[in-house]
Amino acid sequence: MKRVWWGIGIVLILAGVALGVIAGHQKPPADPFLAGEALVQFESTVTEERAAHLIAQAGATIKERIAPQGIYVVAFSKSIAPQQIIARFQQMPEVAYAEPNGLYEPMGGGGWWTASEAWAEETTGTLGAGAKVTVAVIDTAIDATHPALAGKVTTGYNVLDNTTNTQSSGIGQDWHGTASSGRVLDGAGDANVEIMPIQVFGTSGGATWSTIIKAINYAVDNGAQVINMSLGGMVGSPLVQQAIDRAVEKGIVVVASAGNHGTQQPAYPASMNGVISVAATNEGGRKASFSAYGSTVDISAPGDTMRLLSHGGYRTARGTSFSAPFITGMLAMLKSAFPFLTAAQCEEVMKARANDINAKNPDLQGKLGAGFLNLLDVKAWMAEIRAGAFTFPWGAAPVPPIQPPPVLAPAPQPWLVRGRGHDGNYVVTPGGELVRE
Amino acid sequence: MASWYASRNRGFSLQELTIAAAIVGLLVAATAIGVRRYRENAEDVRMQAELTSIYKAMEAFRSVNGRYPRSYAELRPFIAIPNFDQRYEINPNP
Repeated sequence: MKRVWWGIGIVLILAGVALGVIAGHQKPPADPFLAGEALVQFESTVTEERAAHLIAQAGATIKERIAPQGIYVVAFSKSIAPQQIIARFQQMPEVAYAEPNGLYEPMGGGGWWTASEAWAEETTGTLGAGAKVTVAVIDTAIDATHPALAGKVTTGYNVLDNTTNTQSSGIGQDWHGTASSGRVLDGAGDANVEIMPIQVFGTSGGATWSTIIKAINYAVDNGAQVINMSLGGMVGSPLVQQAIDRAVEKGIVVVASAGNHGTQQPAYPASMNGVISVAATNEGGRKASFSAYGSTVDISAPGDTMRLLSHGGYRTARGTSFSAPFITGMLAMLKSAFPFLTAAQCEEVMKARANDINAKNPDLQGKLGAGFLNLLDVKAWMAEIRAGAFTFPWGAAPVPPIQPPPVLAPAPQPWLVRGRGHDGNYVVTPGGELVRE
Repeated sequence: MASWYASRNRGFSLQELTIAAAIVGLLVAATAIGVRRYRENAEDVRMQAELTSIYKAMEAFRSVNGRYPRSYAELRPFIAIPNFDQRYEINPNP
């Protein structure tokens, strides 16, 4: 009998372990690269003919050329690993960059119902008379017929089929762009803001880097002043960075979702240079469990389970997908009320006006950016703008801040002998003095 | 009576063993960190002493040649530190 009980015990333990393994098993992440494609950029001296020759030499064909950056989308057999083709390109001295055609995903998903505020009753304010600001929402298709968006959507661009048809179907993830656009309007209050939908996602799956580069280029070339990207992945791309650099050089504010992986690992494009990375909190400023955090985050905004616009109605969802466009909207409000502000000044104002949430997140001191902005701040900003009392970090008058003189690096210590210690380098000066560098 | 006897003679439970192992692990880790810090400290003290010796050797070279040595080879006759050329940089033009 005793032996039977032992047997049952062992079986139960094994079953428990097996269950634990199954429960803890995460769905493996989708392949972050598109099979059979790569992105190649040649040195500026390489002609298109020479480029075509080199691409053929590497065993690939030209699928497309993205003009401003001279990026080639090249295709090859899916049976060949992209790394193999990329290695061939990287060995060519005339190639500046060769990388896989990576994929970025939308940064928002399901949740459950809570209530949130809306701006329907605020539309009578005077902010609507400010300068019109175009916000490019690089996302899925959107429902431009939604009552909350009607009249606030300008002609957009569908990168996937190269048309201006960006009307959503409601199938699969085809609600995401509508939700992001609604959040832009939440953050913009009743400022004179229009949404330029730029579709990079279909009804399922990710968007390739080449698609995202083309979307950014479209926004830059068609008058967007703020770009929102509620999307991302864990791999950075120098070529996507180039497209962002071009936007930033033209004074465009670029905002992206910090990520929903819940760790400090940086996600891209949020962590790229010149991009405002937005983490998600609940309405009160406590970090949402899923939200990424860390040194690359610039600011936080509500993104935990909330009521959002959806295709033909409303839904609840959560994600940094919905915190980023809220900040995008607030920045658009600033641009509308104070058109002379540069992108850097908008960011400076935003950070200076952010609420400190370190006390609410004691384990994350300084890891949620400059702080937190929510609907109360939108209301406060609108009231101050209407009253002509909006304050800037550089004083009440809306003038650019005086640049402080650059801090000069201390002159290097003259030295005679130098050695490496565990706590830094040490030198002996010509005078015989032992100094830590 | 039998159960009292049994409880006095049972072995260690898994929980007790885990806690004991965790305590031993912590002690080992703390000791290892302490030893490493001590060793690094000793290495730094030696490095600083050797830096001063090399400085003196360079000054000795200059008193003979009127300039600082331009290579480790030139300085080697003035110095008794093994492999100093692999661990320290010298600057002939401070």
